Amino acid sequence: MNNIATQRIKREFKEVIKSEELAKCSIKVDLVGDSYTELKGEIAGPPDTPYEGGKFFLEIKVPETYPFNPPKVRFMTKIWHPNISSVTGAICLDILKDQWAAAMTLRTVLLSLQALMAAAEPDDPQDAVVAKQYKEYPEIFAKTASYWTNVYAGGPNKNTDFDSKIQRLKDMGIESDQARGALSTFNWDLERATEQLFS
Amino acid sequence: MASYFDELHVDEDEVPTVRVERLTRETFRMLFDHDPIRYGDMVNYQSSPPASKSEIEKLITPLFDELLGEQCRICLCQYQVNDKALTMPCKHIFHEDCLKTWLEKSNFCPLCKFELKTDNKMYELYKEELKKRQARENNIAQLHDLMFS
Ligand SMILES: [Zn+2]
Ligand SMILES: [Zn+2]
Repeated sequence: MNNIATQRIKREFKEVIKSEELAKCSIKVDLVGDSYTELKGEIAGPPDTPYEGGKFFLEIKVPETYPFNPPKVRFMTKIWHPNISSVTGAICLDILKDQWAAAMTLRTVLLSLQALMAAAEPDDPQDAVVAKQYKEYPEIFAKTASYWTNVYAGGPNKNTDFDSKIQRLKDMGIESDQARGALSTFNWDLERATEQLFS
Repeated sequence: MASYFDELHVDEDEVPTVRVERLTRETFRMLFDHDPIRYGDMVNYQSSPPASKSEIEKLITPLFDELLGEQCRICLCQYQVNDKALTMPCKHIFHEDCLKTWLEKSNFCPLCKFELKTDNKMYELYKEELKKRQARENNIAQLHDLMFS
């Protein structure tokens, strides 16, 4: 297939994506197979955030109408963030919707996502549960996000207290992702998480 | 019947199109006062409206010197001899085909977001009102500064 979208992505690969500057920002884009319509992005968690030390993978789908329409981007790595769905990885970011402009590139998108990870916008949430926790219990939010980074993205911060609560639910036959989701949702209140899981 | 119109302050001589425009504006103001952010979303969200055809017609062709060694930032290709290009009012240049495809979808410059006029009345009214409100807020802020600094 040799349409505008493919040509554009090929050029981006040649001129923008392989540059050293991207390596410095710890951002990467790779091809998936040999079509230029499906790509895999990678973002390092920004320093001084709960995502530091984690590696986050993105699914990038390039529509035939690119660059006149934005790429479709989703987190494949599970992440706890107000503007990203903790279940599906769907992202709420204006440039992926109505604020897209044809001169933007995949580099723009990845840098914007890295900025979003560093500065959430809880008033325009994708995940209402996470956004509520972010606003009402910022410390629990930071711990939870850091824990998810450890479990799903290879981040350094273990949390044995959270681990043992998850183990308690696993002992009751709950699958671990589901247990982690419920406990994160209820601010690590084991009783309320259990109640919800068995109701 | 006259009293009915009197009560509603309707001017019977008002041309229908003018009336529609006035009512649209009034409805819009009510919505704006009620929930400005949500109204902005309603107008903007689907994607910004296309640029008006007459505005696109007005765009000028750049000199070849301006294209020399430059790259169209939509397709990322260098300009070749005989390539057709257009200059936006903000002075940003793109291939004619690239820019027209974009402006059929969105009314702003892909590089700096400079806006061309659209044929979408609601959108234009919204922009107008937004500008007025910002000016008013600036005036109030300045007045406040004058009085208390
Ligand atoms: Zn072009
Ligand atoms: Zn411009």
